[in-house]
Amino acid sequence: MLWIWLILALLPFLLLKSAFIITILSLVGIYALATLGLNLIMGYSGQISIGHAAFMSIGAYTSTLLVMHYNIPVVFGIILGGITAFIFGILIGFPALRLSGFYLAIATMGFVVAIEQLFSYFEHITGGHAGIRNIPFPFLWNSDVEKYLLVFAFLFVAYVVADRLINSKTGRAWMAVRENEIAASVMGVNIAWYKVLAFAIGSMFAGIAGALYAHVIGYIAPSDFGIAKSLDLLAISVIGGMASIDGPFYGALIYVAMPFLFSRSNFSLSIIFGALLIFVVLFMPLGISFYIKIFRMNYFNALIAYLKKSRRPFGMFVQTPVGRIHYIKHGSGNIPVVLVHGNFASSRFFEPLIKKIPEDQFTVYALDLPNFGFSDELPGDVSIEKYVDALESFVKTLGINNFILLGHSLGGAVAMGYAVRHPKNLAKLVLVDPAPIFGMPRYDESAYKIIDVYRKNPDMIKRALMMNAPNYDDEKFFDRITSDALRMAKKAFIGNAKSLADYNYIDKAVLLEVPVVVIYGDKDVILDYESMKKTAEAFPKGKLIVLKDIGHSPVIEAPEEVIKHLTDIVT
Amino acid sequence: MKFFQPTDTKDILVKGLNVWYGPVHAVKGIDLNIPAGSVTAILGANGAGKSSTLKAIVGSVKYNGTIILGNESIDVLPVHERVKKGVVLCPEGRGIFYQMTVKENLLAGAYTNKTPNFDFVFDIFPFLKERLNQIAGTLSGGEQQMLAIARALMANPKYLLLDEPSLGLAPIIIEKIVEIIKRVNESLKITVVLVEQNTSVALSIAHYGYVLENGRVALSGNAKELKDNPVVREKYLGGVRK
Amino acid sequence: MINQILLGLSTGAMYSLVAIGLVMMYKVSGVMNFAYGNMGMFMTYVIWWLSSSIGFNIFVSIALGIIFAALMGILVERYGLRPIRHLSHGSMLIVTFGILMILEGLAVQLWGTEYKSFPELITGAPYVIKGDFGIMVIRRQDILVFSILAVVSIAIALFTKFTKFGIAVRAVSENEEIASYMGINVGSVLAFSWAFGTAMAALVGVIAAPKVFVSPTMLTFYQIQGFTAAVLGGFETFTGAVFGGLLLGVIEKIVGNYISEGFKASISLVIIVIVLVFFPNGLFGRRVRRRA
Repeated sequence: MLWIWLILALLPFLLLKSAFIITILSLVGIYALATLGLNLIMGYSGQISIGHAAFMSIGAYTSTLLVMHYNIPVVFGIILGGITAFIFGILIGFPALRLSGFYLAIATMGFVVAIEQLFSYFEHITGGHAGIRNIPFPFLWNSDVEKYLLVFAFLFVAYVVADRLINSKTGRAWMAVRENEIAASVMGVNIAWYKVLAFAIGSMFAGIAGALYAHVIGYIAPSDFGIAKSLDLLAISVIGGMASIDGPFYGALIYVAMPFLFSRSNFSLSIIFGALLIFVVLFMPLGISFYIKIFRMNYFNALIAYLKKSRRPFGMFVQTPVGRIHYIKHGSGNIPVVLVHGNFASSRFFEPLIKKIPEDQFTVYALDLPNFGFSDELPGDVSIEKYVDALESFVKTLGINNFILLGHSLGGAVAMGYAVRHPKNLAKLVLVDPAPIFGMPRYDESAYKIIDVYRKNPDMIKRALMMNAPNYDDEKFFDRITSDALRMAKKAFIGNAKSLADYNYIDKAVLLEVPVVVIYGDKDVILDYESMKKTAEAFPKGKLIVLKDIGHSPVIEAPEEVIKHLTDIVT
Repeated sequence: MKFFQPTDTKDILVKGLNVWYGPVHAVKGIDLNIPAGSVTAILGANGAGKSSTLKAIVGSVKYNGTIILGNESIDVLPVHERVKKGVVLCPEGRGIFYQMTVKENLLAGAYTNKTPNFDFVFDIFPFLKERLNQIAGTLSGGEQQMLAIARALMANPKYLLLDEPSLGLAPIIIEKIVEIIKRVNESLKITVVLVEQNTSVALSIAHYGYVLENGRVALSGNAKELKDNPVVREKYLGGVRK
Repeated sequence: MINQILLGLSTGAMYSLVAIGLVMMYKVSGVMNFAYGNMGMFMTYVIWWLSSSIGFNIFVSIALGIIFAALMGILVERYGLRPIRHLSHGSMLIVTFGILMILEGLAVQLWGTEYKSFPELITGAPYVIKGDFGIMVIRRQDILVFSILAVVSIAIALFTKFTKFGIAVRAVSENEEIASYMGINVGSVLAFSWAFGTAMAALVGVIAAPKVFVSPTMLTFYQIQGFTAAVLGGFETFTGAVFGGLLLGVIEKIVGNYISEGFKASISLVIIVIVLVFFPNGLFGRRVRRRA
């Protein structure tokens, strides 16, 4: 993110000629800074303040008076303005703590009106309603650029401070208080301390922003920081995204830019801004920054997903009635074995197993199911039965007979489906952590939607695959499988998950006379022992083998074990 | 078992009821048949989905599935319209209005009733008569529970749904409440749906029972069968021996 | 001195009226309506417009304005607040800020920023009472304010104590979910509370208008004082709101004698802070103890 700051720092040098735009940008920075403080108060610690402009006012007058009457350097004036606002923040934040956020809203509303009245009243110091004009700014070279850089420097420091705070113990305490005060206090969070801290730091940011405003604009009056400005700041915060650190920038940009957008229509800005505020609360409660983040994540990750997708087939193709199927063949033994992979995988998933398998004994065929890897996409909805059709065509086309069928996970369901259709053609059925014989439970629609997130998120796929194979840690292998998984048909991401809830072979399994081995890794996080036991028991010649300390993927975690069970019944 | 059935009372049928709280699937496809005139108990441990089922029947949680009164689905009706149909929930945890007087509580209960009849409630709960102007929050726990039932009766219910009426009460008070429920059912002909964790109490007055586990119906049948069911005895009746 | 107190009570009665409306909305819907003052301001403009531009009789205009105000309250509650009731009370509060901004902008857009004068509803010489306590001067306007406050307070007391819907209102304000089990249509009670509150805001606007003139910010200060009064009264009861307002009026008048007008808002702020720190339930707040 540093490059954005770099651009922002260099921006005025590109705009040297247009002092007006530089001033506008300074204003955006000032409001972003003030709102950043408000975000700490509202978004992170969950208190509502509608007196934020009062702290700007305090900062502005403190700095202006110090600089004008005591010749203090501007930078120190601004810092002292911030400190004064910090002290007032403690004074106001403390009493309101005792009760719910509504009371803080009332107190801050009273505060902002009181401050406006007081600054108007002490005419001999503050200039009363008329305010103070010609606030000095000692510049060396170009006043607008220097002012901008001053704002920029303070904004950058405030941003870094806020970022550090939010990601520290303090930030976590704030969020704990925001989510649930009672729970937070039970966990030992000193609620009062953290709330006042947030309020005071937020007020300090506003004080600094107010002081910057005074020196950048050169003119202040009490009415510049009234309740209307406070509400504008609140709107900036909500519209940008209260609980975000970048939201204030978007909100402030909209706020400062809007008068120019509507300058011709002569339409009251407070109507537009108020309507925008309500719209955001009702329809996009997380604010603009959330959508910008989502947008960035979606497109950025989608780009990575596109780049990571496998491009080069690594096996052979065979044309079948259901389309082209990509497969790998290995070995020259006389026992044929067909391997069917699971969800988010491809034939490559069996590489570790194939490496270990005795070549002279077996001939191994591993296929990419349609919708997966380099095989063709199937038309229409996804279903296990359609995968069974494809497996059927594949076996028939290659003329494989009397073979051992091994299915893993989703492939287990497909293998079961094949076995009950063609029991005569099988020598043996090996199910490795298969989807249960009666199907997976059906989930709520929203649960399936989450799966679609994987489609654009290679990192998530890889992590999920690794989690399901805790004993295998060749990252390169998982990268390759992830690349293959990204080739899955678009509809298959949700379709596969749904199809797993839509089959039940329990009635037909009773008739199967072929020996069946169900291999289950007891560290499997997807399937439970009960359903594996039921699956094994559903077959007359079923046998359950439990592998200790193995996860969902014994074919890669413990290939020797799996191979052992391929042979022991045949021989 | 034969029941006297008031002509305008119909069975409640619940079909394929699902309740979600965000990602939590609290009720997972339940079917219930609550015969008119019966006391039907819904049993199960904490978090089995009992209260959610009850709240779905009265319409205060969102659900999937159908709830049928007689032969008419009431799914589209909001809570207050269902109350007008005579489906009245007496909430858990003695949900009375603590800051209002006993009388005002009863009047609130009679909100949908054009002709509120205090006398018949006083007949069942004589103590309320002397406490009419007492603030409800100052009643004892048992009195609060009875006030809650009395308040529900003020609505002139055809179906009284009781959520954990015995919760946190002394055995002697529970006995009283059991008596009242029996009386309400037998002499007023009100169909009662009783959600209880206290299985032995519930089965002592219920005609039918459903046992929920993890949001599904694990067992169902008439109360006697359930009482004799070894699983129920073991799990819910604390292994009571004959 | 006695006249000072009387004047204070008269201003205080206005604060009480503001506080009653705020408390009604807060008790039932749980939202502190920060748009309250501006809703009243906007409706006062409408009434002013009806009588000065359309030419309706002033009392007809007021009646119409109060009806419009009630309708506005219903619309705001139904479409601005109810959709997010399940989210958080903070979001609802923010919606009221949005409404505040829109109404202020709208008033400026439609009627400009210059102050409009509004006729006194009652005119005439003040009553003067002489006694051993000295001379007491009662303005006719004061009598109007006092009688409106008395009528409103008694009406609310009777309504919430003896009518079915009044009991429903209290039931909803105590527990929405349980109230719905009584067959009470919670939505209509919420709508009622906002209709009532906004109507009160319009009433306050009309009474205040002759003194403060009709302008976009005419009720801002009344709103703050209304909040202060409600805080004094504990924000939960109507009695608290009434006495909180009267007390605030008297305090303001007496303190105002010794220090300048410019400190009015500061006084309120100090009162709010003191009350919140030392009397979190308000001066007249009562807590009903619940048995576990």
